[in-house]
Order: sequence, then C-alpha cells, then structure tokens
Amino acid sequence: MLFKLAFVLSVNKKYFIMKQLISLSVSILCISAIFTSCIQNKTTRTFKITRPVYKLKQEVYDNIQTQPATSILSGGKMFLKGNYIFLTEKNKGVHIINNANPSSPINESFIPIPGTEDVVVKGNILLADCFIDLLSIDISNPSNIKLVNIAKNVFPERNTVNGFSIDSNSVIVEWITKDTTTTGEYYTKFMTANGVATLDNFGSSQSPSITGVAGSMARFVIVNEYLYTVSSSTLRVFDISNANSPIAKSSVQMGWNIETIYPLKDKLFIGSQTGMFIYSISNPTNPTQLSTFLHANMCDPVIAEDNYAYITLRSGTNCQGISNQLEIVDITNITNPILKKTYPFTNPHGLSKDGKLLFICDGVDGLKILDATDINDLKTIKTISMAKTYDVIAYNKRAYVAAEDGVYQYDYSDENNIKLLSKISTK
Amino acid sequence: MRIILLLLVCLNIISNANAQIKSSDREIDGKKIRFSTIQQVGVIGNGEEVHPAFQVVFGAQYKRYFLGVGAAIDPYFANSFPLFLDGRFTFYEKRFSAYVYGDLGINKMLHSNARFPREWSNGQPAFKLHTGLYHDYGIGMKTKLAGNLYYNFSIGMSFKETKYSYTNYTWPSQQPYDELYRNVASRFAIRMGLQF
Repeated sequence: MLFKLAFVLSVNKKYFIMKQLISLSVSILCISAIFTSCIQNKTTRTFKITRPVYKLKQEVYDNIQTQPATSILSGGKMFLKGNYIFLTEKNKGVHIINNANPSSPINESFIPIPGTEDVVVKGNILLADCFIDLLSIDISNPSNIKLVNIAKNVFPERNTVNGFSIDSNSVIVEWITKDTTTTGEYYTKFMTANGVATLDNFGSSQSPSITGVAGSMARFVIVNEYLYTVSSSTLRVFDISNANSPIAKSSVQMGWNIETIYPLKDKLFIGSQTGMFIYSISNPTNPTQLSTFLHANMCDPVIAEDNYAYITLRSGTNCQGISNQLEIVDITNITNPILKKTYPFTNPHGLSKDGKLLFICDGVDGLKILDATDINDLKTIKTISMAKTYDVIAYNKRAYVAAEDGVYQYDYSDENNIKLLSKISTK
Repeated sequence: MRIILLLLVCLNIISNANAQIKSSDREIDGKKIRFSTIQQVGVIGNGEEVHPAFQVVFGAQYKRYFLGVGAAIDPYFANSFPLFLDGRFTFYEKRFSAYVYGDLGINKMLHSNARFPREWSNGQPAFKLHTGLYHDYGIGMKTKLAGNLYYNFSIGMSFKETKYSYTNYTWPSQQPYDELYRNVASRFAIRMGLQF
C-alpha cells in the first residue's frame, strides 16, 4: 500500500513538474512575442562627406594667371605642344612642364582652372573648359599667360557636379571632405549596385597637327580650324579659326555615356560605354554618323589609323564591364566596321600607336609595348612594370606615360632598347 | 558552414565522452569540478527578423557555477559565427531550478553571405568583413532529467554587432577609403537544450 502510494505521488510529482515547465515556457513565449516588435536594431554608417566651396566667377577668372609650380597630386590627361607638356589636374588646373630636355623635365608653372577636365592648344592659345564655360588662354609667354576670352555657358550639362548646382555667377573651386557618422534604424538591405565612383580614365594616341598631341580618351580634339568636344551625351563643334574667340557652331545629341573622341582625317571616332560611333566631318560643322560598332557595357578608349580601330575594354566600378581586352576593328569599309581580333589584357586603359608599335596602359601591369605588324598576331616586345598606368602618348619616338605615381618618358627609337628618360613624380 | 557543423559535432562527441567518465572529474580542495557541455537550439529575433539559432558551450561546472567557451551559428541579418565565454549561476541545486547566464565574445561574419560578397560580379573588390562584439544575457530554468543530464530553457536578450566596409572614393580626388557600417542587432533569444 505504501509502495503503491509512493509510486502514485512520484508520478503525480513528475506530472506536476512537467505541467509547470510547459506552462512557464508558453508564458515566456507569449511575452516574447508581444515585446519582440519593441526591440529595434541600430546601424551606424561612417563615410566621407564632401561639400563644395564656391567662388564668384569673376574672382576665379581674375586669378587665372601663371602661378608657381605646384606639386602634381594626380596624373591626368596630357597634351603635348612643342617643348611643353600640359598636364591636366582634373578640376584644379594645368601644370606646364618644360620638356626641352626630356631627360630632365621641369615642372615650370601652374594655371589654376577650377572645373577643368580637358585642354587643347592651337597655336599660342590654350583652350580649357571651366565647368560650363570655355576659356581661351594666351600662352605665348608661358610665364605670363593671359585669359583672353570666355565662351560662356557652352557646356550646359556641366552645371551640376556631384549633385551640386553651378550657376552662371559662381564656380566650385574646392571640395571639403570630412568624416561623418550617421545613425539609423534597422538596415537590412544593402545596395549591391556597384555605384562606387571610379578613378578617371586616361589614354592617348597621336592627333597629328600643329595644334599638338592629345590622347585616345581626350574629350577635346582639334581638327583644322574646329574644336570638337564631347560631354556625356553631346558632341559640340566650335569654330576656332580665331582661337581667341571660339564660336559655337553646332551640337549633336549622341545618347548617354559618351567618353572619348579621336580624329582621323575627316572622321571622328567616338568612344562610349556601349560602343564606338564613327562620324564624318567632311562638312566640319555638321558631323554625320556613318556607322556604329557596339560592344558590351564597358569603358573604352579608341584610336584609329589606316584600316583599323583599336579599342581597349576594361572592367571597373562605373564601367560595369567584366572583360578586359583589346579589340581590333576593321574599318576598311567605314560604314560597316567588323571585329577582326580580340586580345586579353589585365585592365587596359589608354593606348597609343606609332608605326608598328602599339602602346597599352594595362592598369597595375604597367605599360605594354606590342609589335602590331600583323594584327592577327600581336607580339609583346616589352612590359614595363610601374604603378597603375592610365595614359600614354607615343609620339616622335618618345612615350609619355601618366601613371599613378607620376609622368614617365621613355625613348623607343630603338625598340630593342626602350629606355627610361625621366620621371616627374606626383606628390 | 558544413565544416563548422562538423566541428561542433566532433566537439560534442568528445565532450559527451568526457561527461560519461566520472573518473575525469578533477578535485580541487576536495570539491569536484565536472566537465559539462550545453547544447541548445532556439529562435532569435525581433520585429524585423526571426531566425533559428544553434549554440554549444563546453566548460566546467563547479557547484552552482558554470564557466565555459561557446560557439553559435547565428543567421540573423547576416550569417555569422559568435565565439564567446559563457558564465552561469544556478540559484539552488534542486531538480527544478532557475539560473542566470551571460555570454561575452566576438562575432565573426562569413563571406558566404550573399549580401556581402567578397567581390562584385565584375571582379572588383566588394566587402571587407570585420569582427564585432557579441553578448547575451538572460534567465532560465533547468530540470534534472537523470544523473548529470539536464533540460535547459532560457530566455534573454542577445546583441550581435555586425561590421563591414566597402571601398568608396572621395570626390573629386577619387581617393579610396573604407566606408564602414556597424549594425548592432538587439533581439530576443529563446533557447532550449540539454546540459550533460
């Protein structure tokens, strides 16, 4: 009887414990469900925020004078004229480098031009953009340059920069960057779009004329008495027969993501992220589209000569492409360009060609020099390792290379003995 | 993930073997320290997300105190692998008793997260993952089932810090820098499991 009672009590006790356990569990679960929504997460974001510093245009233009040389902070587009290299420092101005002695170039002076991205030189006149305006600067005496003309509001699409507006009376002269931390609520979704800004693209090839030599990724080119410029969407024509006073003649809407312009005789080769457009300028003020060569969405500088156009395609954040290669396009029939051959590269940027030698800036791999005698069988003659390369101009047996750490000059008069002449270092 | 699970299973087997051998108990000053393992499953979440979670702790039980090292699989917001020290205090040593616990450690994120790839589709570097802080506190109850086998049930607050960055560029100098994100998730943690 006692044993039976003990057994019953034991079972009841276990039952009681389990019941308490389940009851407490359910209660806690219910309480949790009620208060769950009250708890929130917090995300902090630490980033650099940039704000513009504005100045009145008149004040800026009054300050466009020859100034003492400043350190080159970043290599940019180059323009060769006579014994000078005009090196654009984007949005800052132009470094004037005396290259009379290529083995010992001298960073001679600096012309401050806020908002400049491209320069060309015709005769003694340097033409540079300053946001929405086109400036004509007399550089007949590089140590005492003079601003001689302002063509106002000829680049209206540049009235917005990084989301900030530029009105007719002011320009952005500086950007102030500081660290900022913001705090927000729960942040589950993160943008997967590769919307990160990129480094600029530079490239070059020969633009034959007394006006000087520019690059394959230039946005300004001079053909005879006309200046052709491309923005992200528009081709513009300026009559610069009197470079002191350029006259806007016409414009052509070209779609989006236009990047570069390269002249060859009476043709313009326009590079965009979606392909190459070929325009006739037989009527200089009325560019007419002849043909299009499309490729995948990638950044592409283009140069052309004789029967072939050379296009480098590369991957990169804003370019969105995934391939890195050189495409050689047969333009014998200019109205029907045909892809002839493709060569893989690491991350090709600017390119230039002089005779049979093809120069390609291949990103972190440095400068590659190829024998392009047979376009079906390019042979690498030399690879010069250096910091990340952007731009090369091969002209008159000298290669001018803009790299991350400076501007190099190489002598390739003997292709079997290509040698470094000099380097101008960036800061 | 499979490697982590395999590691946890192996550690579990080793600990289970240790728990069965009474001769492995050490004595300090005549008091017994018993190796013990706690394995728990449960849910963690708040109004935004709710996820299952798994946790294992290996440590030593001395009277009413427990101290151990634990690891967890935590898919909340982004898959991560917290590693932590676990401390527990049981209020009274009876068949049915309450305890409090606290965990403190680090939170390691995993690149296997689709949300945080190592590279973008174009080959450009995407995210860098950083180690964050992990801490967890709560109360629970444990029921003795047999011998050294206990059933645990706990509820508490769990905090997980997720830190990641990606390369952005300043304007207009285009200088690269790391844009840093730090997400501190506060959520309820309800767990149940076994201790032996």
